[in-house]
Amino acid sequence: MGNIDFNILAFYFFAGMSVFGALMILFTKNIVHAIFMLVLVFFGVAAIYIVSNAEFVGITQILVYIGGLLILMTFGLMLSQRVDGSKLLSGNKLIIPAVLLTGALGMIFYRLFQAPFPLFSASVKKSAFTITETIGIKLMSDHLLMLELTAVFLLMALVGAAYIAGRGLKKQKR
Amino acid sequence: MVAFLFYLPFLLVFVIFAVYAERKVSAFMQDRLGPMVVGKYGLLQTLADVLKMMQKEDIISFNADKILFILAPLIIFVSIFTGFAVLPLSEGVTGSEAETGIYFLMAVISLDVIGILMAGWGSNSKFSIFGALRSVAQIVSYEIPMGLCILCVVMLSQSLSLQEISIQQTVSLSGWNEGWTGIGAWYIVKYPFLIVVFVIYFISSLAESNRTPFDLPESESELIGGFHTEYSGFRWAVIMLAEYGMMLLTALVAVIMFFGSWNTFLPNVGLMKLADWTSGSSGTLSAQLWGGFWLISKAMLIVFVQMWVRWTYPRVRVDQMMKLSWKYLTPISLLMVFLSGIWKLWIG
Repeated sequence: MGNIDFNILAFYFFAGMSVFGALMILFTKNIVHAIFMLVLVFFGVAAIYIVSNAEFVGITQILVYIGGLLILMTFGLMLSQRVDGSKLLSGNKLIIPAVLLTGALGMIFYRLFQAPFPLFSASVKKSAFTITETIGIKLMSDHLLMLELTAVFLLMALVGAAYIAGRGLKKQKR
Repeated sequence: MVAFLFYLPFLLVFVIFAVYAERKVSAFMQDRLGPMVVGKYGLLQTLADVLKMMQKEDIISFNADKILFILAPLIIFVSIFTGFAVLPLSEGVTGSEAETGIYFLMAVISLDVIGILMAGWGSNSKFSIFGALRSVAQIVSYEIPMGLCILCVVMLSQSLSLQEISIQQTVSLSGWNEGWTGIGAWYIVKYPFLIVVFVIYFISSLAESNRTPFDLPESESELIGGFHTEYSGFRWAVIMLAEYGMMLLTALVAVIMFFGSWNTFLPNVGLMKLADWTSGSSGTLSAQLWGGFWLISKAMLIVFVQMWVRWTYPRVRVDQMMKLSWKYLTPISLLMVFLSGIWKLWIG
């Protein structure tokens, strides 16, 4: 019992959590439950990132996917439904697209599983900077253009959203 | 991770006394006496309330979504309490040494929105769902100015670690106030424009913890209790605990980021080594006690201001709340991020 690798153990635990969440999304009829199960999936993925030493990516996963995206999804769902009192249920009506998508995914996974995925070995090259610092330095040097472009793109989205939201308002006032 | 072991019992004691303080503060501000019956000056009032709350029947309404209803308070409390993991207490008693520090804190406390949504939806009551929707809109909106304020401090300190930020405020090692100690080394003095940042942070933190003037999610006059209308007894207590925990957390983060963390405010003046006398020599037990004392007492002062604001200002309207966040606080804090960059590059 002496040499259990806790990283591996944690990996399987969180991976299992994600898979369990994903399966529950498929089998639950209640859409709201499905969304909360999606939290579990994202959380498991974030935990896997953290276990594999990618702390920054893991935290970003929580902040962006759970704290941002998922909240908006839930929010939209709750605002659009329930108001008319109807029950939210998911069904299995779209069988043909589902079969097609499963086939396509299966083809991709078949190839993927043939490729070797070696486990991370602990003998990583020691750097003067920590991982988070390295990400910061790389973002500000090698990938600066990408960073700036993304920033401008996001600003455009923000300005555009404000414009679209504000345009209708002015017309109403007149 | 040692600081974590201090914060859980401290939070429980804090909540009991904060509720009492809240009642007394509000009473004095409205020229009343407040609780006077249970114990001397009503000191035991909260304990009596806790006792009453524990005995209450645990009600789950018939049509509620039981799983979500039961899980919600736990998620709210756990996500807020996880934020305490990265907080330091003194120079020796540090929090988690996670590299991402305050970034981690921001990420986990944003998870309490999930709990609020679960509570609102699970209760199956229109008051709850409206409260939850308002609460989520508010928290998501105010997270942006709050995050930008934290970004300012992170840019200036060049570190995400709260302990590193604290250490930098012991003695100023660079910039215009090089060599200053005590209050002179605090970020708010070293970078004077952080006063604006602090005000924005403080307003956002009020909104994040659902406190007046931003208590729309639980506005008693319209929504009964907001997202926790259907909760009673211990489950309600856990939600309350989370709210006060959030107050304490934001106050502590404000102290760490702007007001010198666990450092004394007394500077060394000539032969009067006031800062050294009130800090203890590094590594000793007295240094830890002084550090804890300064951090907690400064945080208590900010909690007092939070209560003061609560009993002074009326509640804002929904549109005013949104306007404040998106039209004023977000642009100003974006400007402040810009200013931090210029200040760091030109003045240091």
